[in-house]
Amino acid sequence: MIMKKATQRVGSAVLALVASLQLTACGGNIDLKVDPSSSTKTVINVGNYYGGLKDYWLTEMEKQFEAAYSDYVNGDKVGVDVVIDNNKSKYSGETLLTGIKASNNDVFFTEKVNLPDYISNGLIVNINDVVTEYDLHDYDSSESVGTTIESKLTMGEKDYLKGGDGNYYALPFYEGYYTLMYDVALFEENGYYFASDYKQQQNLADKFTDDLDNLSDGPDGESGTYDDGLPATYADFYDLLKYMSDTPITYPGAYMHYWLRFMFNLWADYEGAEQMALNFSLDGTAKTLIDVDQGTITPIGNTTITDSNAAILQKQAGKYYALEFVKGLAGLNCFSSNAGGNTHTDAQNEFVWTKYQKSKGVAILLDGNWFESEATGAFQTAAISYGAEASKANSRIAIMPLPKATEEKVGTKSTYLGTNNSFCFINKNCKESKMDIVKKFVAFCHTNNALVKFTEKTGMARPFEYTIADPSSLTEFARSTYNIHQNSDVVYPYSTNSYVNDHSTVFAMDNWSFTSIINSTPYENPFTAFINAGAPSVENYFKGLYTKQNNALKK
Amino acid sequence: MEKISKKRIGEIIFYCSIVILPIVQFCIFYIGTNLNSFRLAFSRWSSADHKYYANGFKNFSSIIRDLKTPGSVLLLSAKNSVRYYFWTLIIGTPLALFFSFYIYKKMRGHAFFQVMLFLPSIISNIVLVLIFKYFANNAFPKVMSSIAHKEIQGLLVSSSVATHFPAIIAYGVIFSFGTNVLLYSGAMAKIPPEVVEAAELDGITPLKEFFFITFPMVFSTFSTFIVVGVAGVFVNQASLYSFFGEGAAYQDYTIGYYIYKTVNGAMATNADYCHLSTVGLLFSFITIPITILVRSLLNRIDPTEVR
Repeated sequence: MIMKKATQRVGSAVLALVASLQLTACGGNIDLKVDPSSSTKTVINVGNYYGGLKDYWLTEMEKQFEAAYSDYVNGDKVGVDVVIDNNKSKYSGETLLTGIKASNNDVFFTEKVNLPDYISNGLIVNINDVVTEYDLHDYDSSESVGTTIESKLTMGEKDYLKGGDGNYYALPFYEGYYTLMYDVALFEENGYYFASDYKQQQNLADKFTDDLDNLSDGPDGESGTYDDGLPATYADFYDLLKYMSDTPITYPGAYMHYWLRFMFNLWADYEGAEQMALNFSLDGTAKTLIDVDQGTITPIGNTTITDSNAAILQKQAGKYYALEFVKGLAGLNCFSSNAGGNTHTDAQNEFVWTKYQKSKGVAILLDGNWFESEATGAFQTAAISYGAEASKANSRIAIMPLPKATEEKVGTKSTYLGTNNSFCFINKNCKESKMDIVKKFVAFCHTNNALVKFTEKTGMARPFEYTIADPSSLTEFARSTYNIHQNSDVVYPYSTNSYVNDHSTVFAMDNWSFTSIINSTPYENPFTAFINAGAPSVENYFKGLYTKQNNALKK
Repeated sequence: MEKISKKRIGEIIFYCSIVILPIVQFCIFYIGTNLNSFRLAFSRWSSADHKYYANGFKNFSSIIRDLKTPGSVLLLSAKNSVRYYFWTLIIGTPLALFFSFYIYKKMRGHAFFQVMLFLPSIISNIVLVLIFKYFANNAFPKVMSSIAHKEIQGLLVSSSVATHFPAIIAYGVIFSFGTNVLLYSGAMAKIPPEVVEAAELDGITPLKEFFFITFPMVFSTFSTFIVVGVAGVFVNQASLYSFFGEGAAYQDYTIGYYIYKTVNGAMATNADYCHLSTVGLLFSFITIPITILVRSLLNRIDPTEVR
């Protein structure tokens, strides 16, 4: 009897303890890293979205800033300790939005953020002084005196970074987009470059050369630039694929939205920055609208865009040509047999490794431009197996500049559509006692030196003007990114238009861009549609773009 | 008034301290969130003012219009949800009953089947999805090639959208056996052995035993599964997120996946919450009477129900 009672009590106590574990879900600090040895220094806690970029750049900023501010006095503390907390799920999207209120992190470098939610809910700090007043020369002597962050900001949608009070609350983090990258070494070995006289050649093989002094002008139409020898038009790209034959393209078939988001860039590149921006501002004149009927393209003529006729933007010609390009690709049988089942890391591994495993490797990869950073593991493994030549530092992979839809477009400035909604901002919870140094850290991360380091460490660019004195010190990939950054416009799908934001489901790029409806069948991705049996025609798909969005906006 | 003893007070306090947390959790995460869904379904979000405003029944009429539009994603999702439930019911339920009966009768290899059928319930869903994907994309085409001499693509690759949903249904059927078989077997084990012995003495065959003794006696378990399944038709994601992440083709969408994908999407906003709350509420209004009807029909035909 006594034993039974004792057992019952012990059992109940254990159950109560287990039940109390639920309390761990009740708010509390979502951050883990506090360095106890830094109690003599001012600690800056940084929350970093640990995605493809990892923390290669931030750890460099940490080292440099701590060294630069080793004598910084703040009350009884001397020096600064930057503590980086890396996490993927915590620092993006809905998780961050709900968790930031309880977070002790002072600064965030994030992704998948709907910035207006943070600004309107008072979750982040007004950094207008940092962006418009701080003299970056104070943080980097290579900057001209009086240079502000705002003066270097290349992102056109500056108003998106501001609150209703007209002050800046955030800064863009990185310039991300989905694109094609190619193996430069394979191209050189196999002579996959277009010769300078390729337009005069009838025979496919005669269009190509391995003579690097005899290359075509490329998409920019200029000789002696970074895109020489690369396909200038979609037609050239098909010729390249036919010539390459068994060194095809690979892509992450498990994530077909990569193709969709690559098409954003084909569309943007045709339209240009001004016309592309109409999709987010719904304010201006559309000049590239077309109707297509039985293969005949008829320009619609300049059309004033407002909230009430937004759906007509589905008739932008860039969309039609992007659909044609992808339809053409789908018919060429130019994809690796592994592509359909690949995850993004499978595709990266295939792209990095196969040339060491087969006589001809995969020559082109569809991926985000954070590829080099994200594929660090693939390069490390390749280097172990195949030597230093296969390492990231020695890799010869570059971003392929976008070919143009038509000959008429060759020579026009390239335009990309930035994705991933990545931003940097200061947490409202940041203590006043260290706000000064935290703002200095943010400014420090936007100096020319910091931006150069970003490209060096990640192979990506940030949407600011900056100069790399010696691009030859970069990897081939980073150099290609920098070239594109210097020579292209990047448009961002950020809108301050209340009609767009009130219809966010419709105007979300994955929906607004290329979802279509044909004879009561909806399509979410043109590439998936075109590689499947019973593929629709480009014309019907294009017409269905307008039908779908017009129906959606009429509701 | 009877005086409550100190011991009794202590027991009550202890009991309350155990129960208070789950009750509070229920109030917040069930009652609170559902009440909020009601509020959101009748609201609209203004991105200009960052506020919710009353919107009457406009959200509902918008969604009903969507459901009436041929080819709308919502209509397709709803159809797929029903299709998924229908096929898992038609195929999965008889098979689960058969396997449970086989195990209950301790037929040859019953222990092996018991372990193998229950194993998926122990293993994480993501692991099962990975295993199934490799089977569907790699092993199955190879088997078809060597045995049937037919070259086919992987069932779940992007270029074979037509085979996605049948493969998803197959996954749902195969990996649902664990819980079903466990509960049916448990119910069958409670059948009085004397009843079975008497029937065996009368020369009953296994088939007749199943239909006239076993199934009627586990009918309450069966009807529970049916009722719970009907109630969850439009909640079930069908593991689509595990298979495809955010990249499922429209042809594969279910309502559960549609809601999850939209709210989990990178750019989900407060405006989406109003839309999704309305979707959830509307399909609840459809499901509730059907569930009650199904339950009452099953109660009517329950052979063990005393009338």
